Amino acid sequence: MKTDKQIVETVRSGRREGQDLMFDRYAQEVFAMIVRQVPSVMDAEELTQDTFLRAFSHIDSYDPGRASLGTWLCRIAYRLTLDFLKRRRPFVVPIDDSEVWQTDISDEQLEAELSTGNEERIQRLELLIDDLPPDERLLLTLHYYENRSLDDCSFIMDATPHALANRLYRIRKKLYKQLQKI
Amino acid sequence: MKTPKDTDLREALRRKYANTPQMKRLSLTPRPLQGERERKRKVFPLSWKGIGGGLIAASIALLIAFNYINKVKPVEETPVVAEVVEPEVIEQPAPENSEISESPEISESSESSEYSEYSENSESSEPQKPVKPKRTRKVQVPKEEPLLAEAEPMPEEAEAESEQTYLPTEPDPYLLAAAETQDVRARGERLYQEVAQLINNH
Repeated sequence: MKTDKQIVETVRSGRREGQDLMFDRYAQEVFAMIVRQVPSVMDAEELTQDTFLRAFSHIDSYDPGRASLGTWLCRIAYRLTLDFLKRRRPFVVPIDDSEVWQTDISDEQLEAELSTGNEERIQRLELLIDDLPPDERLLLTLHYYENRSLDDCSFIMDATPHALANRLYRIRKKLYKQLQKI
Repeated sequence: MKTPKDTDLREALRRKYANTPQMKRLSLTPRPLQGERERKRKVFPLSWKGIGGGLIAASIALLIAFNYINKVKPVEETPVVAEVVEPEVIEQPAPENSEISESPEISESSESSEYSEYSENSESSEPQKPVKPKRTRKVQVPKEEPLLAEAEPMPEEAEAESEQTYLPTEPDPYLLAAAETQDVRARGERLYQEVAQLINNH
């Protein structure tokens, strides 16, 4: 079984075999990440194809020291997905977060509020996630659902881990505020 | 950096993405997909081209049909009632002499000039080239219209025509005769009544 490094070298040499290997190994992961944001399976498949085509053409820019091959592919997929969603949904009414900054709640309190195990709250959260902007929803998905570290997320989303931690805190506060309105 | 538990949020995400669809085509086949996308893109331009071509063809066909309709003369309807055309004598002005008299002169002169050229050429001993027939000016000769449009019909013919034809505008002679008999009858009845009255008085 070839390692990621060997696959990358094969792709760089221009052989079709390397491309097939990379696709077989990471296509499902990339597709899963995309299809959670894009409603149409067909569009998600096309975006997956585009991700790999772009990866093959920009394989020289891949630096194994910065991120794994899978994370690098997810970074490409993230950009393509956001572009696609912006084109498809140019006008999105986000949740009003003007009150979010005025809410004084500690991280511990927030964690407790979002860990009640209340069925009604969980169902309500399911709906509220849909109303989030694509980049915030993607961050939640990457960090909470795919259990990716903030370092990985920062590479994928091209932001510092500290900035992402702040953004994550803000998103949680926003969701808490919406839950309070029920 | 500590990762918050946020179990509610995690559970909501887990439920939300529990039925994530699987990728159907797990092979790198960019060509078919590329082809599909290209087909999608090409379908619209092709259809637009088709629609455009169809519109142009339709407009051309309409123009041709419109011209054809305009060219076709309406069929003259045959009159149901025969019309009596009163013969009229139309005096046409005599055609101007200048127009008619000019044309023969021109043609004669052209002929004479041709003849003179030919005779000059024939007199010379050099081999002659085939002479191309010169274009003769065509002069339009106006058609001679008859001085009288129609000859005046004889009185017998006019009578015969009036007997044969029936004009709804003129009063019916039979009706006139009937009206006269009614007048005579009415007058006779009036006289009869007057006489009867005189007898009764006496």
